[in-house]
Amino acid sequence: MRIRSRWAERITVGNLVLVACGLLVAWLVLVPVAALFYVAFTEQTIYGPGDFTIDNFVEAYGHLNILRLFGNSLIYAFGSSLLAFVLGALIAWVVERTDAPLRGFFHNLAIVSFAVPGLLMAMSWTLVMSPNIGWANALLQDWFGLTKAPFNVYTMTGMIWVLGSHSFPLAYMLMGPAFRVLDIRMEEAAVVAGANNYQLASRVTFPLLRPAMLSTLMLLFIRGIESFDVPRIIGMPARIPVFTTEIQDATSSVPPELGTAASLSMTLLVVCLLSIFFYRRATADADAYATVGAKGYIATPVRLGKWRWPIGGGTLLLFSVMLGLPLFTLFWQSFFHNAAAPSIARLATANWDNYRYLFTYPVFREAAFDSISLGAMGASIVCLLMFVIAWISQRSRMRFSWLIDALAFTPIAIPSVIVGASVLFAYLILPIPVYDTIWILLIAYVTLFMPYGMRFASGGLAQISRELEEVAEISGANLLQTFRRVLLPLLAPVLIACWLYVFVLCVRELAASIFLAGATTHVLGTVSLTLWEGGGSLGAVCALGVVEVIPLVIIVAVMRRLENAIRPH
Amino acid sequence: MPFAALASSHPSPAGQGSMRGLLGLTASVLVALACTPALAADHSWMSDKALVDAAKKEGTVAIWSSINEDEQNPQIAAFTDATGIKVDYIRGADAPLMSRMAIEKRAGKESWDDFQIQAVHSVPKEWLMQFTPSEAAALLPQARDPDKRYYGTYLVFHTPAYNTTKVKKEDLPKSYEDFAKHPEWKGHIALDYTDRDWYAGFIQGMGEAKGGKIMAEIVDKLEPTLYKGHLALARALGSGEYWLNLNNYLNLVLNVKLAKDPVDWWILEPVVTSMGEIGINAKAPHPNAAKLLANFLISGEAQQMRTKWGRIPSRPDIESNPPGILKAFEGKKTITPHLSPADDQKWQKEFNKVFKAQG
Repeated sequence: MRIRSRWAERITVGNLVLVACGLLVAWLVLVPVAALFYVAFTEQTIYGPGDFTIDNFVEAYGHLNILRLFGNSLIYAFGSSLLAFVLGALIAWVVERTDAPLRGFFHNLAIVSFAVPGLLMAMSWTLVMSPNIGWANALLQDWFGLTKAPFNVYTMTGMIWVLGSHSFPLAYMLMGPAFRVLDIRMEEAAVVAGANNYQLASRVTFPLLRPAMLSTLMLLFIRGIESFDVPRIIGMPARIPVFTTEIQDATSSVPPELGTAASLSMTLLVVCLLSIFFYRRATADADAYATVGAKGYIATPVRLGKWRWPIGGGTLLLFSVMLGLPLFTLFWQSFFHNAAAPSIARLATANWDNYRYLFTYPVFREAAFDSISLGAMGASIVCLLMFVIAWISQRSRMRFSWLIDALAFTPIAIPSVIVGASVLFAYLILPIPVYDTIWILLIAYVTLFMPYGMRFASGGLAQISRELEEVAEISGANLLQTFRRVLLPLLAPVLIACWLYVFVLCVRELAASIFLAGATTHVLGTVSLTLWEGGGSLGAVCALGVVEVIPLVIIVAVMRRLENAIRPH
Repeated sequence: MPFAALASSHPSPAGQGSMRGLLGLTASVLVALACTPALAADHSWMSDKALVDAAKKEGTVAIWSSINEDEQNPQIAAFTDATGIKVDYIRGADAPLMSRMAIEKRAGKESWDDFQIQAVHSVPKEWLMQFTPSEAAALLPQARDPDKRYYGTYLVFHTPAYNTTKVKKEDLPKSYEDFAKHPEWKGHIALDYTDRDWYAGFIQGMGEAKGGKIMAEIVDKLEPTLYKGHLALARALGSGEYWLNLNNYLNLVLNVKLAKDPVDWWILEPVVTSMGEIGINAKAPHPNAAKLLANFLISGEAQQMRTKWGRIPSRPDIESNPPGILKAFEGKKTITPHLSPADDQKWQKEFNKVFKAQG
């Protein structure tokens, strides 16, 4: 009788929701993971996978050059993740922890720039810094009488710069909320105890920020390893092949060599699982990082004094170089059909033709509507689902709770092409009529982007002490009430940042969409690829990039208001 | 003359005020109407009444194609206007469309009727229906599969191209061997890294020993850059990023040229050709509508429309845009390497080795 009543006590709505979320995530992840293993270990024929084989691994890894590819990838990933982290964390600190001027402007700027697809940003940088046609190089050569172009984007440094300067919004969106809830009283206590600035940073501030920092670095590193836009546009002409170049080669051959791509992806999978393992070890003592406790927290901005305007100005200069140059180039180019270096003389021939072409492109309006709808739905589902999964992973006393974290993070290692193909196959054979509808795209997007949601939610939750939930429980609140009235308001900044980030990823998604878009479902990702590869001018592609930024400006403003309304005062 | 129609379909860098824009639009409409008289009058592709009736009964047809919507949709609209048959169109690149096809087959589903990419010949024969459309008789011989499983909807000539502000016409090589005589072009020449079919055709045309030697010398002396995307490569040529393309698709170079970029092309033998191909699913859900649509897409009507975007017709009775393209290749040694999937992979590896794709 006692055992039955213990079990009966556990069957609550809250626990059922937890179990349902766990099962949903397991299903979403296991479909592409199973496909990955199946495709990697079976013979690839035009008719589909055949007999068991390890030939795909021999094909993928059976040449010494793979070491060079991996070496290049590591340098590229380390370099770009470090650069993005430094830039993003610096800006997050200025915006969230100081009284520097223009903070709201910096916040909006940091997020909207991310809306531009990686392909376009890389292309923009070639128009800025190519030694042959880069307009910035031409200007500097003209001004300073240089015989050679001072910058060359077609180098490893160029690749690191382009990805790092495009990825910093991720670091900003992860570190920003962490800085915001950093309780200044802990730092004050350290100063009172005699700590100098170095001791303060190394023994108080950085350790408190460790979960957010590690989440950020981990995501940035993996993004670097799996990045293919910059290697495609810059790495290939520069003859700097990376790991994903091989994966892309394999998936774009006719017919695609999915077996080779899958076996190469195993390396990414191992990297992901290792990083989760080390992350969990490094943040094992969760309570040590909680900065939001039962006593509340005080987030007081640091007064910069005479450094206020120099730091504000320096940050503006940083934005001008990082974002201003490529975004201006993109914007400028959108008014010309062909490549056009910026000049006063050229202004006379600027025109709106590209925008006219874009807005009358046959499927543009449908694609915009579908992409925005999918973005909103996908971001909302990922945020809520990962919030629950992160809670299970961090708060449950299960021995292998880190596996849930690893499971939710795994899709990041699987090429989007394979996710798209596996989702397509699964829902063709299952009696769930989502094929050729918007819902199959939604399933793929949630699968693809839940790892990002997991890192946002995980880092944010680590900063909230368990005692708040314990107090709520003691006061009689059930699980759902605790989620809704305690955790959700405290996590609002993190969840909103997560929502925005995943929204943009959904709107930009391309590789999986190619498999899943149907006759009546179109998305902006496939439209941009069509314009890039199959028609339309350079200017039209740039116009699409500009157009993708505009709705995000509005959404960022709305979400900022929402965040201010929800945030506890 | 379709040239004007093509020029007005792409944004002009010269800019258009509202009055000029209106005049330009009116001119485009008038020229387009002048170029497509057959649309209003004579649908020769509908000559088989029994097929048309059967197709209309089916009422709908699904086509998967690599042609962008801007080009394909007007043709689809013309077909639907003439027949009343609804067309479901899915656009994608060759590789993902073939994967999608294989996945559907594996799952026992057949949702596509017509398939239009440049590699229909790579699809397993048994997946494609044998059919003889009435318009096939008017196609060039190389545009008809002897096994009657696919037909060419447009031709692709692989030619070198150059930026006219960087390279003088008199300096253009008269043969591939001559490329290596221009050390000043080192670092300024590029080609697409998927040009394995061009490379295969070149080696087949020149012979393995001679062809291999020529290409090795070009790579050694000029270090051609590898690029991804033929259209992006043509644009990069137009912008001056590169001075020459060792190889590109002529219709894309024309597309960029007609948009006023300073690019041009010339012919070197052997000329490798490929084509846009259309095939029908052997288990098409709507076989009659599929046959009718395929017949339309190889017809003079559809091919005339396609010239608006610089595509080269696969039939001699339709003039190219600009005119004279087919004539320019008359008498030239041409090779069409239809690579099987196994050959495709083999030649990609060869290409990577020769052009040092890994650095």
